[in-house]
Amino acid sequence: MKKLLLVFLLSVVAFVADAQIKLSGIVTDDNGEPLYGVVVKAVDAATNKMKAYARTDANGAFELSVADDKCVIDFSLLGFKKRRIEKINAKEPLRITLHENAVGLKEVTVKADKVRTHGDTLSYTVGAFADKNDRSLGDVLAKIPGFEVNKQNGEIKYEGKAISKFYVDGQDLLGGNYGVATNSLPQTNVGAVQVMKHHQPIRVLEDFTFTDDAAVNIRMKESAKSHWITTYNGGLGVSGNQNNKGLWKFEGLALRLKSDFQTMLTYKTNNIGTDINKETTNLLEAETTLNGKDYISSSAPSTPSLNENRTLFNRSHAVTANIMKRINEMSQWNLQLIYNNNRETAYGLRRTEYYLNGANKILENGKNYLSYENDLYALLKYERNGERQYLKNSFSGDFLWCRQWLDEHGTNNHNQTARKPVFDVKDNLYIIRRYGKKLISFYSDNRITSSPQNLAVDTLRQNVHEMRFSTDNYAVGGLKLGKINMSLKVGVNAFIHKLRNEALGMADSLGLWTDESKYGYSKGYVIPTFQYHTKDIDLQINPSFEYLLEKFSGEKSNNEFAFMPDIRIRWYATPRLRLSLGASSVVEVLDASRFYRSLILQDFQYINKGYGGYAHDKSKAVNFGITYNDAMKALHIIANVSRDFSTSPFTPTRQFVGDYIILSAVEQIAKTHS
Amino acid sequence: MKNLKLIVAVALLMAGSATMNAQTTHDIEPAVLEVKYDVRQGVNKDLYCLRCGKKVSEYFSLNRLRNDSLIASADPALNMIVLNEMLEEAQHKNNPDKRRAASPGNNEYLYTNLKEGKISVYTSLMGTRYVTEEAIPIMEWSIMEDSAKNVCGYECHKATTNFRGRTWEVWYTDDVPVSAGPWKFGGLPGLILQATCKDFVEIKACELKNKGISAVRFYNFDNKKYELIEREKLLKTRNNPNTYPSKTIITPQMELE
Repeated sequence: MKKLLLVFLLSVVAFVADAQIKLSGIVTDDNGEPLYGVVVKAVDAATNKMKAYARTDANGAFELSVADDKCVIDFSLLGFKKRRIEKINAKEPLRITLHENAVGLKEVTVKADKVRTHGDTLSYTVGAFADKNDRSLGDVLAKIPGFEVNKQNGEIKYEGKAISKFYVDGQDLLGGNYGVATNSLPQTNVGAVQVMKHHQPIRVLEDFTFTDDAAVNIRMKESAKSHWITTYNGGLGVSGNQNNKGLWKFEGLALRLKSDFQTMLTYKTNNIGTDINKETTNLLEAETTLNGKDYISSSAPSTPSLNENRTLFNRSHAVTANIMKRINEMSQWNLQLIYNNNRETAYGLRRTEYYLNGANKILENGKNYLSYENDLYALLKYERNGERQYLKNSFSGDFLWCRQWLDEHGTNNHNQTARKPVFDVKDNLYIIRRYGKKLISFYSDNRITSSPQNLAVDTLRQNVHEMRFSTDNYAVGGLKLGKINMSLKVGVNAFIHKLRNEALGMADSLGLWTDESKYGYSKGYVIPTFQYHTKDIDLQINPSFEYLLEKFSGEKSNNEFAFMPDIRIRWYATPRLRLSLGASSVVEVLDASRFYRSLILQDFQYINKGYGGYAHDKSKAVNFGITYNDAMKALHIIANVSRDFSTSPFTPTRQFVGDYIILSAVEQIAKTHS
Repeated sequence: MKNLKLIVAVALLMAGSATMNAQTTHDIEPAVLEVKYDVRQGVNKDLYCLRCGKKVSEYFSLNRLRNDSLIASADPALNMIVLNEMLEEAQHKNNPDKRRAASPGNNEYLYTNLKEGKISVYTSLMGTRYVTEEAIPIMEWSIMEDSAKNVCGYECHKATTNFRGRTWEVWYTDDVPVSAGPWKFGGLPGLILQATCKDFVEIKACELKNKGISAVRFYNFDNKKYELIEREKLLKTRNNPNTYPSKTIITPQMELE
């Protein structure tokens, strides 16, 4: 029966084939491997019109029915040379071999007039976005899609994220202080802005880490290169304010860009309430401050929520100089000098009324505030960006002289004058070296800060001289073993805090007013990290071992071993269910600035009192979470349980003695559970 | 604490029935062609990428890829970018510049495996990850060889088809011998550069490259697990208003059946 059916079917096919030629065959590459998706076309030889087409399947096979034998057959596949078969022989299956051919197709990008893409780099022609009202680079950048510009400090964000590097013609001239260029560089001198996505500035790291950071490169016009360009603009005005009749604002910029030597000088001044200091702050690296809190502080009147231009009465000058010298392909020197001069005045009046039984109590307090600030910052940086080793050393000094006058009148009448200089010198060394597939990096941060400050309240006088020395040196290395990532951080950290203070004219009955004290610690630490990562489980163990030796002058030293574990596990049990578990324990560092024995006058009302004791703040935390999702049943469960335990051995106190309030702490354990 | 144990036990039981399918992000094979498509649906805009290798091709929204990679990052600052964009969009409803990319099928990663003859779609619905598998559909194309139009610098011919409840008009080019196209489209004697469904969506190529392109890559940031589900079942749940919180606007799907 089956045979009969087959015969019948064959005869039908034969009947159809009378009008149609049925072709079949296999297409392979040079090695005989079958090719998928080859386009097979039957084209009328005379009119060049397509009559039928097919594409090869997973075995490289195709079938094609053609109306007559006047057709030619074309075989084509991207990346292979096109082939044409002129003579059709339907009796035998065809065996076609296609040869690889690297000649590609024409690449097209439409709408390329304003944005050009090249790999991970996007280029924007500045002229296409600028109009005649735009003055600086920042004005134009703000209009380009994806960019955001902070007009105050010149910070640039691309796709919502702050950029990681700012280059001028491929050179890192300004480092983190690029805000000056955003707000001052005339847009007419800029040809194009390039965004380098996934930019890794350190060559050694190129194969190791993937970064989502974007960097910006400013391409200057040819006409703006290798000679000095200067631009300036300014304005003058008259105001009705008696104290401040003349108003001014002036900005000047000089720039010279040679391929291995770039210089940029700027000068800005105004007295119309624009804070130009913000522009000169480092936008790329957050400054690490060693200064805990100021012992002396005279609080300026707080500004209401009005536009800064309306509340800031200033007279500011800012001068910057940036010089970059390239030694060779890999290394360069940078020198940066910034000088800020700022005078600020403020007035405030505050009236507080207490509604009491009988008579209301009224407190009225007026403030007149004046401050002069001189800040000189110098940075010398050497960078060598090799393929096997990266080295960066930056040596910088920041010298700040500051004088403040605060005159309080009303319920409290006091004249306060403070001198608050801070001298800060630091050196940062950073080395990364690559050994085959391993990376080892070394950091060394050293810093000295000195602040000899004084305060005069009417006839009283308080001198405080604080000095801090710190050094932190550590090495980090990593290793990958299959699914386990391990890294080890080993380091030594030392810190000394010296305080010398005396007060003149204060009543001895309150306590000790003269003191010289020292507190220091040194510690060695080892922090291994284990990461285990599979499709089911994420495990991270991050224990930290620390040996600490600390000493407060006049007391016995204290040594302590601290173990601070940190464990996190995530288990993706099924597509719907995720469980997570975490636990950590932390021993906090002591606040060095509290180690003294005397009293220090903060202002006319507050007195700080130091205290010793080596007990550390400690905290522990445990958390557990479940996430369950089933969209088919519209069921979503998220449950999190967490517990925190923290212990703080000291409790802050406020003590009212006569006209003064003494701020200190007592040794009383405060525990919180939540 | 006893209750907690119970919850865990119940949750585990509920999850026990699910089928699993998970792979990490990895390169499948080198790509020979990369095409970017500009997708417009009403006021919504999106940018898609089609990458073709010898055996596997993939199609996905580049904006979705950016989102997923940012959210999966260990750096909270990167996670915040997406959140901030959502907030910006909500605060400036009438500002087209703040509108985030959206299009039908925006949360689908399509992998067409020519060797195995199947299409796998990796997607998610209300936080659960699903994968559907189907045989490469055979589309009945009517080709108009006399038609001509230039799309993205290439001479194209028109072809039409009815596919899963919608009528599509596409433009393909003989000059690029790759029988592929955006979404599930393919089977024509050349690359599809434009696909339009009237009053619904327009997909138009805006960039073609075959040098300096990424490999065909399977994306699974965060190593999420996917549950295998029937295509029709997922489509039905997706169109069911009860799946979502009330007042959710359901975007129309590329396919209706």
